[in-house]
Amino acid sequence: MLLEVANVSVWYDKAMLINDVSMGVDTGELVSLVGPNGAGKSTLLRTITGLVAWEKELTKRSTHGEIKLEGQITFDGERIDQVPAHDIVKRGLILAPERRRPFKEMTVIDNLMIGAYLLHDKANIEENLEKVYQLFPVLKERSHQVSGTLSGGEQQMLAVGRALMSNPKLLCIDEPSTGLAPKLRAEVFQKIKEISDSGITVLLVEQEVSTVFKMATRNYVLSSGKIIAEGKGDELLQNELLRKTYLGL
Amino acid sequence: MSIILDIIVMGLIKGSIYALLAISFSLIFGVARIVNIAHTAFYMVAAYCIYTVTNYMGWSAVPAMFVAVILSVILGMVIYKVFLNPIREHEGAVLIATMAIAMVFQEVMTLFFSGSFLSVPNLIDGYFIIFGVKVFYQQLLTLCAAALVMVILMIFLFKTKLGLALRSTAQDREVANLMGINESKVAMITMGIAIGLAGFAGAIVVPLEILEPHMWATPLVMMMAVVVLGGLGSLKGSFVGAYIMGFTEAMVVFLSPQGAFLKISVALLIMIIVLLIRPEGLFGVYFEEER
Repeated sequence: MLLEVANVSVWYDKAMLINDVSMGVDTGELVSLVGPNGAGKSTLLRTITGLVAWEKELTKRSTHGEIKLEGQITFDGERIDQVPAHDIVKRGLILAPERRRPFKEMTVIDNLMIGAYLLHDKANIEENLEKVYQLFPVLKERSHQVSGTLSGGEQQMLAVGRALMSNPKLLCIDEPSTGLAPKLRAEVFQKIKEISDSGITVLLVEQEVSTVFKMATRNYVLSSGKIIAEGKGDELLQNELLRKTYLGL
Repeated sequence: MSIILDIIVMGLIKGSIYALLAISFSLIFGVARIVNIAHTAFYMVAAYCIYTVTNYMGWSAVPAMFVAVILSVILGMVIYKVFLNPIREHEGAVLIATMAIAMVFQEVMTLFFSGSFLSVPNLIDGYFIIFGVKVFYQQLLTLCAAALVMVILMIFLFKTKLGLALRSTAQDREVANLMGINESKVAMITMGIAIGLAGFAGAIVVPLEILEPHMWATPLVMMMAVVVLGGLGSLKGSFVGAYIMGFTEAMVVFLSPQGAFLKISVALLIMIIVLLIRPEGLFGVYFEEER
């Protein structure tokens, strides 16, 4: 397994956001993580990419509540749950975060260059930039535009492009279709499929279950911080209770 | 005519000093999330440092400037590491701590140099006259030095990789972290650079000002006003705000010499008026709430 999450639990104060989750992603897969609002999907991605651990360190020094983290996360054969967030990218694990979060006052090209912050080989950076531009031609057109002025769809492409700049082995994408028009959603999903086909492993969090189940090799259903089902899309859809209660189909 | 030139010279000098202070203050606030009340205290320490080195050690002013800047950078980074970093997420404590640091500096300076007014000789003596206005070479030098440092700072921020890291951390430190930027290291470096800039401002202004242990208080008020006027977190805002405040001061001083003591009040009044019209400041940016 490329990514292996074993018995991970996360508490924010007394609230248990992730409850003993175990899951995994194999090299080359496109795995989806679906579930209702507040199920802990984003928190799980943030835990995997080290952001929850980072936040925990910060809250220790403040008056805010306490964060507790348990369990093991292994990536590419090495444990990463003790590794600081800024060292995780180096190993090839990156997140295109929820709400896109581009650096709004910076240009598109600056945003992409931050994605390649840890790369030192100029040729490699150029090559990645070329790939991103090929995947998202609109980013090339707008490379010197301030990213805050991009449309929602373009910002999503930028967030994914920025993540791709870091040479990822596993790309986590958090709710890329939120707030986009149906046509743009289809385009974004199409691009994610292309990324997956190009050999990058993808872990995708989404609300739009029907589309995602068709694309993904495997799916996890998360509810109240717990994984309640796992399997191929059509298998999961056969379960009447699951469909009605958790997937809203 | 001559009064206009007077206003321009003084406005530019005051504005440049405020710009250096406000930009460096904004950098610390943006990247390290610290409201550094002690910022102008470092400016004072650098000024006293120049006084000591030139007066007691007999060095000339240029190496003294280097000593002052380097010393303030080291002092700033040590203070950051020991006192500020551990309480960085605790906004109230940071305010109290930096205020305390400023007061400690003030008292230490009083202890060593007494409260009396001191002065530092000009780097270059002499002046020239245009349109009947005396412009001292020292004023010109201060102006050029400030402009040069600001240009270097802009090149650093916008053309280098570390500058990119600084700007991105200021905008969204969580995502910056995600991209592999060591946020706490960047905060430390920013602190060093910003305190260096404050020290530099103190170093180039000291021949034009009176040296005394309370000299940090007025620039502190003006610097904070500039930052608020320009919009918290905006470097461009700090830059423009600084010259607005500088020129306002200069205009009050030269247009109504009897009312010169009102210069700060008038400048602050302008800030209040701007805030009434644009509560986020001139170039204020909307901060997305961090989680």
